[in-house]
Amino acid sequence: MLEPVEDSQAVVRPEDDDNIDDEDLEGANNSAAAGAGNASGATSNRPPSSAFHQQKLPAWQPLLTAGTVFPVFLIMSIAFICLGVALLLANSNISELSIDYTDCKRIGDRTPCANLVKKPEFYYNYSVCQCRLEFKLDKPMTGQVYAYYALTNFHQNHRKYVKSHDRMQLSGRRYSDLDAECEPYRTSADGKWIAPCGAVANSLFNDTFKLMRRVGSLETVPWTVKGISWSADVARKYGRVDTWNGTAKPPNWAVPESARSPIGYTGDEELQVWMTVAALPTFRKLHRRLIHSDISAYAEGLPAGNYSLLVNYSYPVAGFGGTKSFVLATAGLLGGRNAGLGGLAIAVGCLHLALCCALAVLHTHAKRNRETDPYYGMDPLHRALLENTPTGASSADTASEDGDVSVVARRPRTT
Amino acid sequence: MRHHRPAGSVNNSRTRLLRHGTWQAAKWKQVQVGDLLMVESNCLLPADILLLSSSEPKGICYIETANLDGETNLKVRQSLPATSEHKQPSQLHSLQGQLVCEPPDDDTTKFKGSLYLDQVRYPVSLNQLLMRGTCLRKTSYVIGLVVYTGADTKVMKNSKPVPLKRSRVERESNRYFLLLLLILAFFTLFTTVANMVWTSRIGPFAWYITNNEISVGHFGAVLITCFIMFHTIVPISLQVTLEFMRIFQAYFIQCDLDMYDPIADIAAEARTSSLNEELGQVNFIFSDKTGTLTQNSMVFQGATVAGRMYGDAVSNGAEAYEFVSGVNSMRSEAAQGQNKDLDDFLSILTVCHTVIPERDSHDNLLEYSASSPDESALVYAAKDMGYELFERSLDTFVIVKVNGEMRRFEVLATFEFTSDRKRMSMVVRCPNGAIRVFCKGADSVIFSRLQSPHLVSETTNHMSKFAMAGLRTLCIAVGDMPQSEWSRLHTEYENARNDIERREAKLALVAEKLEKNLRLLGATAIEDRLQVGVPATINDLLLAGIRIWVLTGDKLETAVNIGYSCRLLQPEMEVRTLTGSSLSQVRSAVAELSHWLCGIASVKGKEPALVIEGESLSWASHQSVRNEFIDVCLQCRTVICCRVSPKQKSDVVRYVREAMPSAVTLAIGDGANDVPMIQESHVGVGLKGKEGLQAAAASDYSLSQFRFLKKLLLVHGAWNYHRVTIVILFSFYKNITIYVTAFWFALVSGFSGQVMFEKWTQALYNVFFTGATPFALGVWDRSCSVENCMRYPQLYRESQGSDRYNFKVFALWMLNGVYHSAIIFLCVLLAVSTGAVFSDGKTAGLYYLGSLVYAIAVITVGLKAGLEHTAWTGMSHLAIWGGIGNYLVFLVISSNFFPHAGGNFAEVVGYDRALFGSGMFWYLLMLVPALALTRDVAWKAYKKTCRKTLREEVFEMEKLRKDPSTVLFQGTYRK
Repeated sequence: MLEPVEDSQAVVRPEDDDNIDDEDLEGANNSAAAGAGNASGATSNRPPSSAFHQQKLPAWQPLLTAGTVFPVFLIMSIAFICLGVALLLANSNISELSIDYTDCKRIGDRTPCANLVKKPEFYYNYSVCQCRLEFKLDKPMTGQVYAYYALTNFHQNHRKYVKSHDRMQLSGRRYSDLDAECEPYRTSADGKWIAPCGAVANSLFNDTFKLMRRVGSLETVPWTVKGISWSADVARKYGRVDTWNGTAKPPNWAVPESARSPIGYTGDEELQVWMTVAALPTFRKLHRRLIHSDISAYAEGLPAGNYSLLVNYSYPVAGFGGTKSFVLATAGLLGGRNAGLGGLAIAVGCLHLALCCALAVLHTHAKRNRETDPYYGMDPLHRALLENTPTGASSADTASEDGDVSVVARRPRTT
Repeated sequence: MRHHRPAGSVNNSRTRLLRHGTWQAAKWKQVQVGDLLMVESNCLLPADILLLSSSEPKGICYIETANLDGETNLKVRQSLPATSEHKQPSQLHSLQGQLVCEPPDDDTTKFKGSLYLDQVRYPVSLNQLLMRGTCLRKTSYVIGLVVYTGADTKVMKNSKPVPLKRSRVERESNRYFLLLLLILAFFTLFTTVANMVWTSRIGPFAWYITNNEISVGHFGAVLITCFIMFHTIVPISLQVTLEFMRIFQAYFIQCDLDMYDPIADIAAEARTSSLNEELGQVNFIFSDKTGTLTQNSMVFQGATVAGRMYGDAVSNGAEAYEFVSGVNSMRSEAAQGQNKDLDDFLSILTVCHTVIPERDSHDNLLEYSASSPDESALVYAAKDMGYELFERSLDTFVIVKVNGEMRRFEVLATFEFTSDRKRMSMVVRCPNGAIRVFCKGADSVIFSRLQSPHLVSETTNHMSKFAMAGLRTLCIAVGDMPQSEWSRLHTEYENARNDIERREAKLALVAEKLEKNLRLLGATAIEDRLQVGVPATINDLLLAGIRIWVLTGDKLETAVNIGYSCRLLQPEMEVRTLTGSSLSQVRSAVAELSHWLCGIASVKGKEPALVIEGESLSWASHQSVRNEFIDVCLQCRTVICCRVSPKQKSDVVRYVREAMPSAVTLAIGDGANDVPMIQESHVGVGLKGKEGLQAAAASDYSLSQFRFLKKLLLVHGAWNYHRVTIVILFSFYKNITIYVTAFWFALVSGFSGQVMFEKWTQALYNVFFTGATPFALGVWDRSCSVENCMRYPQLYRESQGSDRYNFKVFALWMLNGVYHSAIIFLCVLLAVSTGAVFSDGKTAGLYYLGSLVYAIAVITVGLKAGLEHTAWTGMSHLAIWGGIGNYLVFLVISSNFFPHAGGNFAEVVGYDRALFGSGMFWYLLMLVPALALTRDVAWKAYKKTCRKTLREEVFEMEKLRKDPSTVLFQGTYRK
């Protein structure tokens, strides 16, 4: 008779105690939990205790204060300034000569070619306005020299322009039923497929140059068109064409593609360079690589002296206010001459140096102030919170002090 | 979905209906108004029914209403005498009549109606109504007439449709989403219009561009193109990221061992995952009392009998007392049998109550079923002292076994406990033949009915000691009654009992005549055991800036008592009670309270607390006073509402929500009576307790102990708040950073809508390259260590407000994204401006620019995610470096695809070598993310040196291996 009564009176939990604090609770919980887990085994609802499940994965917790950040800025500023200086030095070794020939005049009648070469009449007749430019190279260009043409104000990155081509046609995998984006340069008037189709191909840059050095007489500087395009383009992006039957040349072109490169687009590097549409309206495209054979005068590069550039001017740019330039340049590790790269690195380095100094000052200032004011550096709102919290300690703290719960009993006003 | 499943099973539960003269099994959903229903022992009632008869004599039956009001004791219902003998189907068939009653309502404390049988009117009341959801106990069966069914039942009227809950952060984010749409609209329209201008002014001269004439069609096409280009700045993937993240967060809540109760073998359960971050913003907690704060089990701890105190309250510090139980000394003294007063005292404890001993078939005592846990505690205590309640027949006799000797007390009259009378008394004929009045009740009512002030001062003194230790007290008194007087009162008593309409009032009058000239014996001290760790948890939640209100169906005294023992109410607080039983009374009471609050505001150290009773609450919720009333409540440190119905509980939550629209409310409870409040609040927490699972089933999170709430809010809530907000901000930021470059590019590409990224690479940005970083941030980042979150509840206040996530913060993040995109684009522009970017003199084009921008943006965004991490776990490394690595791998793959995948990837043929093989790529890679993030790092360093938040301060202390409590909390920390 006594037993059940005892039981029902003992509804109190075993861990229950009059004076319980959190620390004890956790202990009781854990030990009891371990016991329960062992005893009941599979039927237990006890959650897994792995670090993952308990959100206790080891973690790296970087502290981002002025004190820890300023050395990082210091190291970075030194690194960037060094990098910048190195780049500027390297940049000074890169030679570059740019000749704007937009306004060059026709040999003979001295008519400005820009006036003659205008859309559409002149261009469509495949006429050429021949002009000559004389220039002097004061210092020799050493190393591999490249010849570029540069255009300004030419929006090769315009969406209507960019999409007007057929990738599969250029890769040699499609001959007919070309991409509709090529319109109106998709089919010729007599119904043949234009090869290559589209506005990009049709507007292929078609000025030609002849660079000559004055050594007594004029000596043609040898250069090649091979190796001006990316090797991946030659290998994979542009393919061979088995037959040119049933194709027509783009209307603006003087000769069909079959004449430029009988094997197909893979052999026409000039076209490939052009079709890699430029990112900006001002751009430069590689035109020729100079041949520096050991036995010639160009073994070391391009010697100093007087040069003459013969231009077959037929590409119209004046209409949209563009310019055309012929550029001779060598290349460094980061490509063409660009002082901005080194300058940017130095600027970033200086910025970091300035911030480093500012943070270092901040750090020492804060450190000094904290000795007298433990709350220094705190957000005023949060500081007020602490200062207005006369009893900041939680039960976990106070309970560990041998039952001194008096602090717990009082509590801050929180409104 | 989850809320529909129980409904289905409920509708198909079985019961028995009287059809065609026999009892037939039927489903609950077939039960209709007017049916005759038979319910068996331990079954839930399927509808509100009028009790006609039962298996017990006089049509008595016992029910448990735990599902309705959370009370686990048995309650007695009695049928009308006119119907109590109708038990057979044939008898029931002959019962012809009509029931007139009120239309269905939600008040579980009122029912009135009239039953007309053979033209005779019988008034029916709550005493005959068995409500749906109650459980039949100790009665083999009852037969009843169905009054209300389904949605008309009282319990269903009290429940409301399941609300769709969304967190505050989510609601705000939706507003911010609109801002982003505005930005999108601006970019789209600006670019479109600029395109028109460009096309009309420059287009005619750009002979190389075809199909570029201005027309309506052109405008539409450009508009659509621009929209498609810019729509990517809206992070559509955010919702998916958030959902996955929340599932993990919810899983971690369920896995938390600190919230696992090994004794009950119950782990925490997150029943929804959409409110994880809401847990970090709670301003108000509305808590049930019984079973939530307390264990709902009373324990007898001591008594004062005839001026002698058994047990003592000893000081264990400056202000708190502990109670040393006096049970042992009492037991040994009772065993000696010398103390006559103690004998009387214990006899009263054993006899004067409504406890029913439950026995099994072998006559072994199973348990005492009591109408209140206090009574059962007293009866158990008396049994422990040798006074065992052996048998009891309602209203006739009580047999008490004292040390083996049976004593029979004949019950002459019983006056039950009501909250008005605050006492219970019984008139009994003792074994020696004398007639005595046994009375127990609150000191205030007992003391005024005493013969002499004998013992009053000693008893009061002792009782105040009990109260200091948080014990509940009850005075015990006895009175002698000559036979002659009883004979006179007896008839009065019987008349009162038989008066159906004014029975209560008449009985009370009779009781007044009986309960006088009493002799004080002493008082009992009962502890309603708080759940483990409740005072500490409440203290910490208060420190965390959360206001806690207690809403209970319990008596006022009990509620206040618990308020004190769980330290919600404190000695230095000034506690006022709002009373009033009419609108005008309550109105003036509220006015008075608001005047009192003005006065108290100036007194330092005095804090106001308010206690409200259910009846006054219903008057105070009247439109004309509600605002002023809520205002008064909100000014109090704490509010305790007692005697409130489930509906009122949810009303209180609603009033607070209406009065403070920005506040986040949390309701915690364990009984079905807490369900409306759990549903009404922003976050509902259910305790899986003794009172079934209804509360847990309706809740958003369920726990097994109140104290687990601390970790749920202070750790999981705070963490998840930080995680969710940072993930939202970061997700918007990362899309802005990369896709606003499209706008910068539009400025140099004739506003044509040309995209510089390869389309597949662009499409995979949110999935493969930057998808994992927000996820890692949202699942594994820990804004503060568990230890510190728990030790310094003040840290919670940081997430509570909206300092870290508001429109300003959002706008600044977006601006930062725009800034980063500009830095990235400008630097790359500078780098490729010459066109020749390779050491072999070759030139690159549009997609090379795009690839550089893309690569640098992916890295910058990845590093920015790293910067936002407080804790870099292995997962963070995996996500950040993995995302960047994914991009590099994808670059290699995509560069080598063409021409094998249709026309895809043609733009990026050979880009692996073009990027990795060029110095430019590595140069930009080193420089640009470092430049872009300089501002972020420097600002963070400044903030964490000069404008630290509390969390950052504690974090720094932790890193420097200093104890924050000695430095930060030094003013308060006592050695």
